[in-house]
Amino acid sequence: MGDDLYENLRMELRRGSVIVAALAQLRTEHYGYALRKALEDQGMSVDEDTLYPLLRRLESQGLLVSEWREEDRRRKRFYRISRTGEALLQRLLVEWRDINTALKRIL
Amino acid sequence: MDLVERYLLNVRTYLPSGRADDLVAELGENIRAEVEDREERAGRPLTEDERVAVLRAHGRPLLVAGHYRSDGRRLVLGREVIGPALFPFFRFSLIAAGAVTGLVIAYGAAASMIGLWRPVPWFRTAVFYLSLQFGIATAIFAGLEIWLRRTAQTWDPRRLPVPRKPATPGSLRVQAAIQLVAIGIVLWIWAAVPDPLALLGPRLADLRPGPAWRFLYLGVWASTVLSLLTPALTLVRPGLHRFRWLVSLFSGGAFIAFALASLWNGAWVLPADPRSGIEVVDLAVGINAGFKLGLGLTVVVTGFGSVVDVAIGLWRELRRPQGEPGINPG
Repeated sequence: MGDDLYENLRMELRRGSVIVAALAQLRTEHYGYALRKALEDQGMSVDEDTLYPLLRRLESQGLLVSEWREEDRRRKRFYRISRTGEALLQRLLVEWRDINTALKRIL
Repeated sequence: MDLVERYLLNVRTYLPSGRADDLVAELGENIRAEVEDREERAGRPLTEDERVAVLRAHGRPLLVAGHYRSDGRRLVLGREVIGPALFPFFRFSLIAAGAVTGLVIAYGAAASMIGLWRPVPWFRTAVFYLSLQFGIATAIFAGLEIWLRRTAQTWDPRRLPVPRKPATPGSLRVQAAIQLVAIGIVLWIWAAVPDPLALLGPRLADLRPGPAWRFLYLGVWASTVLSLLTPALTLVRPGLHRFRWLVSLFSGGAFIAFALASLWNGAWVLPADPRSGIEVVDLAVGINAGFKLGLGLTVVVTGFGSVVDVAIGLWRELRRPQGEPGINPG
């Protein structure tokens, strides 16, 4: 029960952060696995079954744009942040900084 | 068949047909990129166990597909009972079961109104059966959720079934051509037989088609001609899944319109000779009652099927992101 509760709360905590991290990282164009690696290299490990569907969802919400393109003779779907996504990311970052500052004071 | 390919085909079976090729192509590319990256770092090809570990980390095909279908909703009854990956399948099972219940209740209510069935408290019956379905579906999916979580780190991709490969555009075209020929033959027979009643046996020789027969005949003719659209569309654009619901709307609508006209136009068969005996009259009455019941049920089923097709088609159209193609990008 304790482990389940911790896991649920951890997931809740991470859910929003993953979206912010993915949007920010996609200021540079990436395809799915390259994005996952880029996030992991910076300490933000995201499960495959979370990240890849998330990209599709963010795209359907207009926050990302994507295109199929050939790279190294292989067709890959490349994503980057859209203008709407960038505007939303700015607002989320303001919110995140406020929360972070408040938490630092509380802790 | 390669392990990755088998895994992808399993994921594909749970994805909506209009997006399956596109999603699987992307997922496959990500998995292959990861395998190559690991091989590069290891300086050797991955062993089978290492490939299995890569696929296991991606998750069971059902859950992977569920994540792609998910809108983030879950069932929480105090605590999370059904997670976001299973929720789309749970919702689908409820809609399907509810739809069948709705169909039976709608037919029963209509039959009660025209005096075919005795009156039944339909609202109470509907609430009881829908609650029962919700309880059973919730219990099954909650159990499945627990089992999937417990086996997340131990399931074996090597034990996945080998699904059939999806049809290629070429094979879809062949199937469509066969369908066109088959429907064409049915239409030819339907048009060529001067007295369809004679086909049903010599006992019906004493009967002739009634006024309702003409509408039924035209309804079958119109809906069959319109059903040619689906294979014709497949022949031209095999990968195009959009707008199939329009065919269902027109084909089903045409049949229902003619069938309702048929139901309201009296008898399907009449005695050929007005001075016929009671036996022939009884035979005509029996056949007409059978037509009425059968055609009424067919109208309800066809109408329900068309409404579901159209609702799903419109829902997909509204949810389709702008610029997303309805065909596999290759």
